[in-house]
Amino acid sequence: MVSFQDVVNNRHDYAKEWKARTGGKVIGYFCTYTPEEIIYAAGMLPVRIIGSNEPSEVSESHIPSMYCPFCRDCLAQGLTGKYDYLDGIVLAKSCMHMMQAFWSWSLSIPIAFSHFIGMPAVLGSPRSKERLIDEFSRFKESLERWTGKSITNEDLDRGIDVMNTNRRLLRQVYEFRKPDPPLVSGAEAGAMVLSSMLSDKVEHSRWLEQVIAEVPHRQSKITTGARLMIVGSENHDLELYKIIEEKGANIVIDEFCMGSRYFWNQTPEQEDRLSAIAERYITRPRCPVKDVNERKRLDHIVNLAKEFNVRGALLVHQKFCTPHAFDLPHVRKALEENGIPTYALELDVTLHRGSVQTRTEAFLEMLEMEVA
Amino acid sequence: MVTTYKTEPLETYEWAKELRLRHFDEAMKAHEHGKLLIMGNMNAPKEIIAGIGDFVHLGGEPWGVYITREGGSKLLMECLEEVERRGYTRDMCAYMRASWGSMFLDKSPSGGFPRPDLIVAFNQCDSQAKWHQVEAEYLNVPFYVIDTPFNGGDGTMKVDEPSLQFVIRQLEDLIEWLQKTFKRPYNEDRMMEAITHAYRSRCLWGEICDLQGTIPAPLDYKLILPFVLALERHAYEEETEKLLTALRDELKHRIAKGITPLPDERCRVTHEGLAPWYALYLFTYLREHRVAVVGGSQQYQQTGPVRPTHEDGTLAPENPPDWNGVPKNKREALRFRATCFMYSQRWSLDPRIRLKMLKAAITAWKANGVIIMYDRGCQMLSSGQLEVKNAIQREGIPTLRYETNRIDPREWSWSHVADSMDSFLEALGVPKIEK
Repeated sequence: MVSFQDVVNNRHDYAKEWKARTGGKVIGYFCTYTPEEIIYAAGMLPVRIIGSNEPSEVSESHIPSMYCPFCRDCLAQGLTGKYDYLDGIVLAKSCMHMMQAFWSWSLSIPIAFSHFIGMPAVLGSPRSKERLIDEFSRFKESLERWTGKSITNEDLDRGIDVMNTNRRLLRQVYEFRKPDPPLVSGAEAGAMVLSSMLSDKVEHSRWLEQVIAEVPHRQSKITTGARLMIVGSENHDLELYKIIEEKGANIVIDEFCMGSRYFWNQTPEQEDRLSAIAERYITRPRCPVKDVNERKRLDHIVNLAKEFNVRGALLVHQKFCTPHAFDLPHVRKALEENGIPTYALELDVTLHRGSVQTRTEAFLEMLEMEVA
Repeated sequence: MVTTYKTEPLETYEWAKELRLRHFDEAMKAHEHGKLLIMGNMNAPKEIIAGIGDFVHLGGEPWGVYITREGGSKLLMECLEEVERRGYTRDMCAYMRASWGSMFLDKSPSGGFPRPDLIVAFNQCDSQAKWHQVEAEYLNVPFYVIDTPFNGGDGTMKVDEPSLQFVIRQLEDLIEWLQKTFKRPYNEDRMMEAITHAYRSRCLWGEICDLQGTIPAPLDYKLILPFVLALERHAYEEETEKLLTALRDELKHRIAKGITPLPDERCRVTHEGLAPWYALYLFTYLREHRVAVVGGSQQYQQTGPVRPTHEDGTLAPENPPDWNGVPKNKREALRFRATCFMYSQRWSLDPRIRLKMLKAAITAWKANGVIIMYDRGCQMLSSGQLEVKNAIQREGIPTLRYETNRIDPREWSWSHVADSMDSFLEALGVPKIEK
């Protein structure tokens, strides 16, 4: 079985090697509302821009410290040349934080292609879908102008298929987390999702198919433990899973953008491909910044918790992440009203292992006391 | 050789201050006076709401300032701490936290928290829609959000038609929704009248901004503040148009007579960002040292589409096509209001636009330096601020950046800020005046 953790660790080498092998272009994107279908349709490799979880000061003169550590870490990677192989960058508007990273990147790092997608936020509005179709159309045309090559319906079908196949397989992997003990650990699942954002999904889907074939037959070391859920903002530090699971808990489901929110729903089949893609991004599990006017996120979280038989939930959020700060008390209330205790963890650029260990232990003890 | 100017109180200043406080009283008594009370953010399309009948609009932002200025530190801290007690973090929008605290505690300088009939928000930043979502849920009142059309743009003020249409359609939906919600007919004439006042108020504000280019400047930052609030809150009302007409005329008179807020003007700076509302003595301090704080680029931004930043760096007036302040029909009126929103949004979210406007303001106001308030209480106004600062510093314009929070005094250190100001004045060649 491929080491998904290695794919994550060697993500830059992977993308460079892909580029050398295929002669294709690599596009870095800042948020999972970016329609990767269209990038695949253009024959390019989309990779999510993530940080390194190492302290760095290079972003300090570009993004104030009151912005989330993730956006500053992402920019730091660009400023220090880690992403020098990128041919273009794309932002699908999500939060002010990622927009900061995008602007500073665009203004400070020479790049051939840069595009800003005006992703709506009021997704319950009937106007949002038509707006998003317009914006996806503008993005498609922008790619076509840049490459001098039309993106046909057949290309879009291929892009949709690449994405949908990968999404379907990731959901199959998540099904392995339902039994007790789960057949796939949280750390393993986390690495699979993250690596899918960083590699060619055609190849990634082949790896997932191998996993799906092998997992039911492998000798699992996972034992029964408290079944936990992680809810919250971006987290690409896989150490978090490991630290928690080392304490005897099993992370069986998540609700965040480097987990289930990324792949949970499919692009439907429709004659108008851009409309189908827009439909998918409008109806996907929402980021808090898109969950305005009518709340849908809370029910989704509670349903996931029930479906995966969750015993407790860790609410993780990046320091200074305003959208998640808005939802935090409401998520806590919704889960606790459904009998699921919660514990909040704030994340910074680096993970404080000792602190996370202590807090996890405290939370697990609390859960045990509740059982007793 | 020091030039000494004549100083006299600004007569219209008292009117603007009175209007500001009267507004809160009107909000508290809206129902008593048979009016609807509509809440939401300042940028909400009040001109459009005007068509549904008599109403008072209470913006969350001025309510946050009201808690801070008139409530005093005790009430303000009670409000902020109540929000934290409910699990929200201290780094969230400061206006919102003060306003929420007042709502949760049902306390304000006027007694309690007024109960709105409706909440309407323009979703400009991460906070505005979520802020009022929580408010509407807590108060159990109808809530309407108009979404942002921002898609990065091309770095110019050119209007992107699909984005504009996105806003216009949402305004049309709002009109329909208002009629359904209140079961009343919609009066388009009233809406267009409100648009006319808003247009004229913005034009007047453009003239006033221009007058600030005079040496000596007829206004300084502290004097500007209540007028900015009037423009933001009541541009759609006839009284605002009258107030700004009176201000413009008074400024012309002061310029003709050489009357200024400062007895002498040793240098001129702009102040970027809003004010630390609990510490307006910062501006008194600068005034005492004869530093003319002539405004901030956000004040020019208030003129919206009637004063776009042109590509040549000028801020010349520009009339919307085919009409001179009075919309001929609903379509033109909605287009104007939607364009205002788009201009405001671009200034807020695109550092390239903000830089252009700041450079244009520096030129128009003959400023020698820039003071930037890095506001931990507002992620929107702080966005792109460092890129703007880096760019103007590269052009050799002296710049000072100080950090605080416009509402939360726990993040204020006057001794630190004063030291920074003193060093900045030294750098500008106008060391502080020893008493």
